[in-house]
Amino acid sequence: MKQYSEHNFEQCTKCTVCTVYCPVAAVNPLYPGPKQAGPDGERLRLKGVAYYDPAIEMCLNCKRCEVACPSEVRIGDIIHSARIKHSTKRPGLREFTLANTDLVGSVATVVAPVVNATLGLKPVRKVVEGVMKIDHRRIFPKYAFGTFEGWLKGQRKAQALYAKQLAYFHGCYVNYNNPDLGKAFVKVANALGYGVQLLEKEKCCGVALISNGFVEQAKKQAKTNIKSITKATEQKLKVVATSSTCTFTLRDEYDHLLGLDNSAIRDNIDLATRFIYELLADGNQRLEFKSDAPHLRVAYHSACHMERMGWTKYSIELLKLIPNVELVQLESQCCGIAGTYGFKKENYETSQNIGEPLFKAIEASECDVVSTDCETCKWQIEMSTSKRVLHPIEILASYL
Amino acid sequence: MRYDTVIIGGGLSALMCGIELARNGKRAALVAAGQSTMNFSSASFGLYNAPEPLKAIAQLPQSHPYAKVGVEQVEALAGVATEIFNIAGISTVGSAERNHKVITPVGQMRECWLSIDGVVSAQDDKLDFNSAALFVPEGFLDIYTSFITSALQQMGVMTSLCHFSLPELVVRRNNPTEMRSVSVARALDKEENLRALASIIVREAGDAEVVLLPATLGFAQNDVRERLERMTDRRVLMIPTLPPSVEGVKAERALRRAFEKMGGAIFAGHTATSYQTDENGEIVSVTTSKDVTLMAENFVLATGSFIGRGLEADRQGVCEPLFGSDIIGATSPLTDIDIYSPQPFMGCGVDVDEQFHILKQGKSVDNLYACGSILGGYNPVKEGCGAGVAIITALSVAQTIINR
Repeated sequence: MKQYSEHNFEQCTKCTVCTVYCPVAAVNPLYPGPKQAGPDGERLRLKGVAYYDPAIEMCLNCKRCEVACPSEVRIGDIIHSARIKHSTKRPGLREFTLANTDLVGSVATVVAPVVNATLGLKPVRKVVEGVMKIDHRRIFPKYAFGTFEGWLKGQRKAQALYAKQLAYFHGCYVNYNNPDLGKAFVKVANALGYGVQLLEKEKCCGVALISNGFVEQAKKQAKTNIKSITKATEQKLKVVATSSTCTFTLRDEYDHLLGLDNSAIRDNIDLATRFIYELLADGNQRLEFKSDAPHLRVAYHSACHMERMGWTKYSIELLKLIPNVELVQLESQCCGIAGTYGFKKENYETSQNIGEPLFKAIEASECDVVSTDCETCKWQIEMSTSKRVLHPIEILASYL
Repeated sequence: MRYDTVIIGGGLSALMCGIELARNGKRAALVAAGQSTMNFSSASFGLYNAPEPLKAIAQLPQSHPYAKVGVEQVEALAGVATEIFNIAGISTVGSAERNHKVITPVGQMRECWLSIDGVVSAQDDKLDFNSAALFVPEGFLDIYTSFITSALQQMGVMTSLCHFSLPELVVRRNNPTEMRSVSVARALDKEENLRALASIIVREAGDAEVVLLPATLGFAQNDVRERLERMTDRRVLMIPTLPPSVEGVKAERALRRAFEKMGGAIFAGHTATSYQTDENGEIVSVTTSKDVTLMAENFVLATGSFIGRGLEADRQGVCEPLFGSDIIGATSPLTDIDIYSPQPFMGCGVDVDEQFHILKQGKSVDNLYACGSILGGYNPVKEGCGAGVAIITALSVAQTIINR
């Protein structure tokens, strides 16, 4: 490993290529762009906090600047760390509601039909916009009636029968919104001979807390997760997640943004599609696919954090292994939602403008469904195009 | 993951090699550590700095990469390159027989083999127009306007200058650093902005034969120049800009798309950090900074020179950090005190045999090749052959692998 100085921005050669590939700079001329907001600004911010420019808060932390950078500058991390350190914005009720996915989810899943029906109503969304500054055009993900954790606890005995075991980091989305994705993962894992366990204690990975300014709470939750994952690691249990953003946060953001040491467990945290693809690629493991499965044209969308992890190809190659699945790889670009960013009234236009080229590409792809490893991309694409979005694991499970 | 060939690099050389392999049915993957130097190129490609480049290439010493390819083969592969640009939808002008000249963003005239269609170019030091109107956005940072106009005057072209603005560009100027080519090109992707520019041109161009603009004509779209020509009923030509260059970005994007369309895989944002060998010393796989291991029959090192981090230098000397390849040209001193002299470090690069196999401790590795600016034995700046060597050696390596 190369040893960089404490100030990673020193690697910047001022080539400006990051700004070329920044989705925000492309649509919003008021955003200074990643070079200016990141390494250039950091040099100034070291002199004094007066150089902090709140315009850098328009960054949506997609990290595409880091993928584009030829010099391994962690531009997104620099911007986000500066924001954590210097931002004077105090999170309000809206931020609290959007960021506390665990708390809100626990309540909403108990009364899911009521919540879903209510949030589906336009007048209600208008009120939400007035009170909370959450854009009324934004469609909320539906809540499930009952959590995934609850379901898997009921499966404990059946799962214990498998000789091999893994721990599943399901994330808030699977737990509160889409337990079916978790069930699909369990089905695939079982077909490969793995029983699925919960971690001793799972908290929201904290990505929404970090981006909404609740850093101390994010650290607290991260420590709980690190402790649980350490325990699983000691028990030789691989920890697998279906969400690309959860995986990225656990592996990279804990260290880079929260300053927590996750080095002992980082390599033991894997993404579901990568874990499964590698099992199949070894040749020792096989999956029996349905012989009469229907033909499906799937357009794969590479989520930003998936791109930053560099693991897009695993999902694509896994989907290609499914007989009768025809894969179209969409050009990698941001969908614009960036977690909770696109929900906020002031970001709605930027969010939709960023996503526009992707939405057009999806409509033009003539696909039956879109697939992506990120749940918030799914919400954005389903709201903004005519297509349904499925996780690669859901597609895989439906062919078993 | 397993491929036929893994190419370490994501720039012009890596893409050319990858495309040639992919269109010959090979499964190829690129390991691209960030965006490549194509983003900084002016989108003109030099073969060799001489009026008749092939004649000059025939005289080069055996240590030069072109000499290893051989001049007949250089000519043949130059044709293949033009074909690949065409397939990728990049329309170029120029020939390997006889160079043309292009104007640089600082108003110099440079020998050149291929240029993106629509760039101002001169044959035998003559431009094919006598009067021009140059339109530059107000506050634009990426060309040196007065150098350009005086260069044009010197070539006998009557040039008028018009600074223009559009509402969207006025907003851009709030930020002192971003009045750049890409921002202007993005604005001109929009129909309303292009129409506004067209009406300014019609009003201000007088009877100039040709309308000149910095090369900022469309970022997402490729037909903006042609549309502007139709709207203004004038010939519209482009002046190359400082990096990042819109035409360079578009050319890289077009080559990447072509490669992926042929089934090629690009591992973007990955740096190859280690490799594994078998008992014969052949390379079995490389592992990247993103914990991805790529297995292949053949490996091509196309990581570029110092700017692409293919080569690294410190006070001890020059090294190639991935495979520890032998280095040639690391003479002492590495720099010349006269900054305008050809710098000796530019001749540094990895040592290869006649087929571009990399040498390690004097022994060639059978399934490991190098191509592009990581090669030593030539000076890309002085010889004006950076792009040419990148393309020709890439295609040569690809053909060796195909015929293996």
